[in-house]
Amino acid sequence: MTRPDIRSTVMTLWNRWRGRARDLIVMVARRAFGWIRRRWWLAPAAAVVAIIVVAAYGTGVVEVPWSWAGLAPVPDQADASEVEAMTRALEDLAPRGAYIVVDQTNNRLYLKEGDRVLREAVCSAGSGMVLRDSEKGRVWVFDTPRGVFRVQKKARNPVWKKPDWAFIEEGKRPPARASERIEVGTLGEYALYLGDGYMIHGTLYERLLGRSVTHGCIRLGKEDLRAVHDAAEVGTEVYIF
Amino acid sequence: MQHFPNKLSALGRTSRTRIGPSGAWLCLAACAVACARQSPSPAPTRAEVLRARLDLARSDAFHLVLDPDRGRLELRLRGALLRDHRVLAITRPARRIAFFRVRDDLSWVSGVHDHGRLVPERPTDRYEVEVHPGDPGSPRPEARVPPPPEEAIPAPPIWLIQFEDGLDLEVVSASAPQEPPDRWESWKQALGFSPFHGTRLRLVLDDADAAVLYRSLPPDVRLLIAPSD
Repeated sequence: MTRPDIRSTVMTLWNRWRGRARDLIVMVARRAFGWIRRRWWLAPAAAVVAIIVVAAYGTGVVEVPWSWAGLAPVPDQADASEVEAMTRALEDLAPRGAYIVVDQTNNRLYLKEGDRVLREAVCSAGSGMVLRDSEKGRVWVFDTPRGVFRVQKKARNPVWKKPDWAFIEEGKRPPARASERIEVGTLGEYALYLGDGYMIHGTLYERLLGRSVTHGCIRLGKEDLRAVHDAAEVGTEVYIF
Repeated sequence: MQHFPNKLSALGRTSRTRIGPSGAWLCLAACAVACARQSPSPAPTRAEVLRARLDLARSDAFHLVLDPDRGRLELRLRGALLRDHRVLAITRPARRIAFFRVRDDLSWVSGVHDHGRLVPERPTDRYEVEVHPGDPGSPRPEARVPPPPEEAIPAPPIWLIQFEDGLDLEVVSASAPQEPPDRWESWKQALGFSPFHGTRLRLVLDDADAAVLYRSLPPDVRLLIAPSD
């Protein structure tokens, strides 16, 4: 049994019916044209509908994906050495070796090197509390400062020399003798001094880590503090934001 | 059968029949002219972008560097990368007239944008206490255990960083509910009947990432939109 030749079948049918088909198409076209001509209002009506559709669906403010739209930076004829110098200067500004980043609002500390995060730790930063000494009119705001700091000193088993606010907070007058300000063990095993009385140190209350409870210092858990202490040197940058 | 009760001439009929299409073509031509207006601003050179980055890195200002090509938003200070956020999508508003997009002036993309501030502002809960040392009746600070930051500072699903020059960085959490646009307002803006705020970039961030950024964005942040190479 041979397969039917579709092409020849179609051609045969076309030859047989093409005259009639053409007549039919012409007749339908004439009728349609006549129908449209008798209804002259159709064209303006269609145009109005088209305008409404275009206005309603094709007009408005839309969100489009980002593209530079011809504003991508282009290479220029600048002195190659100048570009190289700027690139080098930019690299030189980046911290060398390990550095510490503190996100004081989210209470997170990151030990980083380049773009890599070596260690992420839960910490505690300043509570933001305002303490007023009504006797002398002094005011303390317990915020952790933002900016770049450097580790100025590292200490093992640090001793806390309590500042005035620590006594005022307890409702006491600050003592005259320096020896009465010394407190041992409060700061944990290590302390990294950042200047102006701010430190990264340990805590007796590890359950409060992750909450903003300090007087401006950064508190860390025992293990994290040890790791940060070991990785940081005097001069290591500490970025607090 | 009388199809034209009034005595219109064939010429009149023809003219009337052409009013609609002619009007439509005129509208389209006007739209095409409006859309063809090109942004006159020249693209910055790589050296200029590098200089801007260097100036920012030398300043003491916290700054954001948005690299749209890599989908990264970096928070930096003095050359150090403090945090980077993966941007899932970046879009900007564009006007469309008769399905043709109007080419807006995008010169605002270049340059450094200053004094970014959060909208809505981050709530601050300051506990104040006044102590009279030596007076046993004086109030003492309560031993308060504040809530964790996620509870203390809840981040809205959509928030803005508004810059001094008018640029808005709209940060949207990936799961933020999509509100249907105000079609009438959108239409008025497209046609110039109401002011069009085109200097806005919408960044879609992962929910947690968007919330973390909202809580920790430093005040007066600066912004540079630039490829990172």
